[in-house]
Amino acid sequence: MNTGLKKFICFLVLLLPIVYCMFHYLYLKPAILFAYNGHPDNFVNFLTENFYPRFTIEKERFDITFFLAKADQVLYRFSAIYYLVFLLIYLYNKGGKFKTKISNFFHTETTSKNIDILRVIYFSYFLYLIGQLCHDLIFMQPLMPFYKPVLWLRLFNIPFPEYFTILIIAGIWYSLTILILLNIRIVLCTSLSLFIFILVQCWEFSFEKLDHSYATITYAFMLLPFLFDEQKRNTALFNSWSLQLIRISIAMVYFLSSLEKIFIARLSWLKPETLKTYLSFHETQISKIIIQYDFLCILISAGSLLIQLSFILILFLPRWKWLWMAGGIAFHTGTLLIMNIGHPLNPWLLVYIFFIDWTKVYNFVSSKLKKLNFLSS
Amino acid sequence: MILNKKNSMVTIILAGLILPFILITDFFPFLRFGMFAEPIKKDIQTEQFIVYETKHNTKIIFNPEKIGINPNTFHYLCRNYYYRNEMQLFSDKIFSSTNGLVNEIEIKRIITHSSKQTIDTLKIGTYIRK
Repeated sequence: MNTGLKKFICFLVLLLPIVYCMFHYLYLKPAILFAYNGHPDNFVNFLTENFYPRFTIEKERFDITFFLAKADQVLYRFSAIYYLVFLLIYLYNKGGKFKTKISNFFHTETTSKNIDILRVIYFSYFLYLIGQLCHDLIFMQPLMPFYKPVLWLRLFNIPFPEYFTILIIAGIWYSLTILILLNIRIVLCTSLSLFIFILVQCWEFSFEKLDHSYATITYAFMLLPFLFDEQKRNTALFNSWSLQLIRISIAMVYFLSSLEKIFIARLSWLKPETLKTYLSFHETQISKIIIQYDFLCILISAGSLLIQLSFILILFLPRWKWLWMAGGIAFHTGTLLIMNIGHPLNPWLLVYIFFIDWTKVYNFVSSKLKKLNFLSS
Repeated sequence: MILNKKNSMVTIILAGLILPFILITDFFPFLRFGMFAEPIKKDIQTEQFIVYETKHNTKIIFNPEKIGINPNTFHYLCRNYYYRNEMQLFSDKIFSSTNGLVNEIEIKRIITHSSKQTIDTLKIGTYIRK
C-alpha cells in the first residue's frame, strides 16, 4: 500500500469519533427523547432490547436527563479510549523504547513452583465455592417460573437445571477440581471446569440480576488454562504473559470501578450524603454510627476511591504491592462490616494470591522450618 | 504485531474489560463495574412492594421465604414486573410457584422518604388465580 493511501485511511479512521459525535447530536439524542416519551424507532428499540433491557424499567424511575447523560458518557468514553488506543498503536509501531517497554510490561518472571502453589490455593478455594454455587442453584428451584435466560443460555437453548442435574454437575465439577489439584491433565480439566463455572453463573444470573461477586475470579480463571499450558512448555523459571494478564485484569477492574464513579458522579461522590444514602440502604450497627459523622463519611468515600483509583499502580510498583493489597483487604472487609455486602471468604480477595511470589514464601517458610528442626534436634 | 495465542488473549481480555466500560452495559462474562457510582439526589425516596395473601377475607403479608425465595430477590423481581406493566404475569408466576397454596393476592406500592416517613401508598391491584 502506498504511503499516500495509508495516510488517507489513517485520516478517515481518526475522523470516526467526529462522525459518531454528529450521529449522537443529530440523531441519537432526539431518538432517545422520542423513546423516553414512548415512541422508540427501530434502531433505538434494537439498542435497548439487546444492550439496555433495563431501559423500560429505568425510564419509569428516572427523568430524561439521566438517559441523555448516559448517552453523552458513551460518546466521551468511546472518543477518549479510541484516541488513546490509536496513540498506543502508533507509538508501538514506531518501535524503539516504547515497544520494548510495552513488550516487557506484558510479561512477568515466575517459577513453575509458584504456579503449582497458586494452583493448589486457587482450586482448594473451589472445593468450597462449588458447594456454595450448587447449593444456591438448588435453592433457586422455586424461582424457576421467573427464569429469564441470559444471552448465552438463550443462544444454546439451555434450560434451568433440575435437582439431579445440579448434583451430577457438582459431581463432575468436584472431580475435575480434584484432578487439577492432583496435577492430572490440568489444561483440559481447567478448561472444562471454567466452562462449568461460567455455565453456573449464567444460570444464577438468569433472574434479571447480575452479581459482581465472581468477576475477578472469573477473569483469572479464563487465563489459567493458558498459564498451565505455559508452565508445561517452559523450564523452572520463565517469563509468563498469562500470569501478568491475570494481574492486569484484576488491577483494571478496580481502576475502571473508580473511573465509573468519577465519570458519573464526579466529585459529588465524595459528598457525605452519597455514602449516607448507600449506608441507609444497607443498614448495620456500624453504618448507623458512621451516618452520624460527615467527616467519617467523606474519609471513607475518599479512601475507597483512592484505593480503587491507585490500584493500577500495583502493576508498575510491584515492591509496594503489599500497600494496595492491604488497602484492598481493608476496602472489602469494610464493605462487609459496614454494609453487610460480600462474604468473609470473598473471591475478590482470593485473587490477590496472583500478586504474591509464592516461591519466596515457600523458601522463607522452609528455611524457618529447617532452623526449627535444627534447634529441636 | 503477530497474531498468536498471547496477542489474541491480551486483545480479548482488554476489550472485554473496556467495552462494558465504554458502552455502560454488561457483556457477561465481562461486566461493567458501576455499582455505587450513581450520585445521590437530595430528598431521596425509596419504594417498597408489599404482597398480601388474601384468604377468607383476611389479609396477611406474603412471605416469599415460604416458597424458598429470598425477599430481596422477590422485591427486585416485583419492581421489574411492575415497571414493565406485567403484574398479572408476576402474580401468575407466584401462583404457579406456590402450587395452589395461594389463590388470591393484593399488591401495594409504598413510597417512603429517607426520613422513613410514608409519602404515598398505591394499591396496584388484586389478582386471582385463574
